[in-house]
Amino acid sequence: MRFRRLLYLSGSALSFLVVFIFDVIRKNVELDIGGLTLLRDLLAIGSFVLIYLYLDSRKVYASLTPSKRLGLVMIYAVITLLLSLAVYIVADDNFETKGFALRPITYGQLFLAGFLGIIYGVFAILVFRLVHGLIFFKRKRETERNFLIFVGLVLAAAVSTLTLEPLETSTLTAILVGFSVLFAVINSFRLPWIVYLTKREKIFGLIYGFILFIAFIGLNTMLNVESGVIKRSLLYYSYPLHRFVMLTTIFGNIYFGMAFISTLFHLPTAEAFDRKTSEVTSLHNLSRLVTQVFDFQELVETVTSLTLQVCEAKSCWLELIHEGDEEEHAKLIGEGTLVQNAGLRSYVVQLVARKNIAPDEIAELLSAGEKTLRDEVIENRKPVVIDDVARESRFKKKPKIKSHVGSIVVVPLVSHAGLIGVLYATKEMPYGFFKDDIDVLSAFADQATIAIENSRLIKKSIERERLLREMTLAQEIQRKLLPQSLPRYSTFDIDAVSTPAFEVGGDYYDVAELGGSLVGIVVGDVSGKGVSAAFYMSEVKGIFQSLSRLYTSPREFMIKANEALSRSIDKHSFVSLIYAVVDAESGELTLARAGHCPLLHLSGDAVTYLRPGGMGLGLTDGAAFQSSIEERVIRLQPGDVCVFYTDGVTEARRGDDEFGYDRLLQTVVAAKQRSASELKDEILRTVKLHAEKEENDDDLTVVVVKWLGESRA
Amino acid sequence: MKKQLKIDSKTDQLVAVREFISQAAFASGFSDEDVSKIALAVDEACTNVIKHAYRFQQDKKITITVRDDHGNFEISIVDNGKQFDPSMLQAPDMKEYLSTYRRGGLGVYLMKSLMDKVEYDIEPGKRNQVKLIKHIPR
Amino acid sequence: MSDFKIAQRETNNVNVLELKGYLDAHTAPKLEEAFQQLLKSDRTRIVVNCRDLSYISSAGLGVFMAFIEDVREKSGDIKLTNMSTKVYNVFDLLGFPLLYEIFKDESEAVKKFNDKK
Repeated sequence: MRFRRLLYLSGSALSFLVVFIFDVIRKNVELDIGGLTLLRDLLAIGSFVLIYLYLDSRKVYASLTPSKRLGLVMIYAVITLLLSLAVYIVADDNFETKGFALRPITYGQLFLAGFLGIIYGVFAILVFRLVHGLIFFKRKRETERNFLIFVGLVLAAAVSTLTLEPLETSTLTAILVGFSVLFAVINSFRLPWIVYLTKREKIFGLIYGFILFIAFIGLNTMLNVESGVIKRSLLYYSYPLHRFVMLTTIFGNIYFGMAFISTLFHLPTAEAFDRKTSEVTSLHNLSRLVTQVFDFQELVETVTSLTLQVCEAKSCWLELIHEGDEEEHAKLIGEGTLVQNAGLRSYVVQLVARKNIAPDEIAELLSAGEKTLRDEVIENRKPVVIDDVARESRFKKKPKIKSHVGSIVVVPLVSHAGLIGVLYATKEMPYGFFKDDIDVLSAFADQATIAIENSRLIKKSIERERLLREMTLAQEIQRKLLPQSLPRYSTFDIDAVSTPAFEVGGDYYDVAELGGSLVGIVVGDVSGKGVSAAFYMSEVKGIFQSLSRLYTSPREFMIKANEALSRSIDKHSFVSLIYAVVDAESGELTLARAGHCPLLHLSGDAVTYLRPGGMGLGLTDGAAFQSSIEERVIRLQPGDVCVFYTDGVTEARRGDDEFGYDRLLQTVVAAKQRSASELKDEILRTVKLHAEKEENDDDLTVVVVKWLGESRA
Repeated sequence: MKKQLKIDSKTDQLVAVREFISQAAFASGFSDEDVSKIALAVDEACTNVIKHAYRFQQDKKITITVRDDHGNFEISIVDNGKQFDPSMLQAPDMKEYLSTYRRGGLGVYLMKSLMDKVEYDIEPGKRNQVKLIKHIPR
Repeated sequence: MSDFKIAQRETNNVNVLELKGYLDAHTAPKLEEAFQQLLKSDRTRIVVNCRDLSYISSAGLGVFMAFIEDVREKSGDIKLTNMSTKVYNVFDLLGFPLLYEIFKDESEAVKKFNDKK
């Protein structure tokens, strides 16, 4: 591409040079070989064709706006005109006439002819390129045809002079010129771009059009002054070029004359068109905005600034309205103003964005009248328009508002769920809002409503996501709080399982070696679920790990644990624990229970639930707890089974039918020969079978101890 | 027209508040009945501030501003105490009220019933403003 | 400044409290005290005569609310009489007429107490 451009440019330059050399020779030597002269004339035309191709390949003018094109044509025309005037004033006509032919007397004249040829040729090409874009703006089907016919006629008129001497004329050329002018007029009706100019551009367009009209008349005159230096130079340089340039100036004259008049007629509607364009753009922006709703504040700021654009308002603000009930209002206290209206529903209003207006001005404006503008819109859910603030009785005694504000529009933001906000816009002049302004504002409010609703939904789902993550984290913590593996003992088997509920539960079990042959086994349940339960559970674990080694009596342990927990746990929570200390040598088991499920003890054929008294931990501190807590001691025999569990086992339900203590007892009896691990599995299996559900709605923990005695070495 | 009264947060100031409000309301052209309604509403608002926002701390201030913009009679009561208790917004169910022994909240309900408009503007921990509005009869 | 007085007397085995002046948050404790005294000595047949009561705010109404339960538990009652329209309107706004017996005249209330017996 670049190479080709270079080729065009150098080809064109070369042609100029050859033409120039030929002219120099021709000045000195009489060359009467017709073929050579024709060749020279073709070369002269060819050099412009190459310039045209060069400009075409640059595509510099492809994407210009109509007003820029207009401006450029004007600049080129004025420069060419000034240059021509200068030449006209300074240079004399130094051609001698030889029949119909022209001969330059001086070399200066020869140079000037070449120079003017290039200037006018390039100018005409540029004008064609630029006007082409104007004519093809919003083109119709016949646009291209008409333009091509016009160009064809112009070129034909130009080429028809190829064989003529500069001062010769022909009927054919005259006819072609006539048709060219006709089609210049036809093409000059292609002015649709004027409608799309902004008001400002139209005013400039008017000035440009006028200057262009004058400039083209000037140029045209230059080209047609009999015996004028410009006319004769061009004729000498290339007759077709002269024709082409002349037709271009005629066309420019007609086209820009029409443009001037048309712009003049369009001026009164310029404003309306401006507004429509910005409305369309703003609405387009807002519909794009609907998808960009992650930053709520940004969203409402955009809504207000676009509102300013849409109706060219002076100020604008947006309030969110929450109708709801008292409970919802209570939640929003501090975020907005609660308005209780006699006879109307109460609501909380939040001013979320404002443009070009201070909060106290807004307050002043909205305090006017028995029913404020806001109340009116909320009640009727329809836009309210104040055309002339000065004549509105509610603003009678509000001079401050009257001096600032001429007209007001208030539009409700109504979603399927109800009214969610109110959008206000003001203008300084009375009757500033037309009907279509209000229509557009309403449409705009609908878009804003969707965007705001979406933004809220997204916020909600982000919140939910966060909670979910928190929950997962809590589950993870909880899992880590439970022992990863249990120690093994020669005198007894122990195994445990804990399945958390679908979220986070508060079940806890642990085993600790207390020194000597003593082993502590604890099972507990923290009231509540979720993150707080997991938090308390970690506290219970800390207490168990530290206190169990200090206090080997379960009762004492419970008393100290209660003291520690009462300090940290909140009033509404408590912890139930069952704690047994087993002497791995003697088989002596000491048990204390704080509000927890009883211990199942199977010995031979006898099964009992051991229920030493005791309140839950963290309910009361000190004396009341101490007096409630009891201790039981039993001695385990070989084959004895102890089952610690949480209420998730006994309270597992099928409909209204709880698993209960009896079923647990039967299950253990039936499987009493099995190992601790198998017993634990069996209990879990039976409970799950009973509950029949995939997920437990409570946590479930089972710890089984099976005493083997000294038989196992 | 704009008038302001600044009082200590003491119940013995309520007489002065009622006096101040009554005079202003009367001057704005309210009937005797409306004047006493407005005075009662403002008394309730101040009582709430003394009891709940300031919890009977006597060295605090309450600012009462009256504005008459020839259409609305607007009283704003501003304090810098504890945040307004939103649970008082619930209209009291008298039957339930009896059984629960709740004693607050009556004032809030009265204010709403006595005035045309009540606006709560709460900046938690900083400033509470209650605006009581009644339309001036023409 | 603040004028509120309570006069107490007994007629036909009914305790009558005569309220006078302005009953607001400042003066309500006085009434509370009066009710407490009556309750302590098990005098629960109470008539409150409001003839000279010029003003009542919710703080005053709250006192009636606070004692009615205890009084009725002891098979007594608080009956209100001789209210001015202004004061009645406030009672009415809060729906008190549903909860309390309100009479035009003190004698009617006293009679009602003794009729029941």
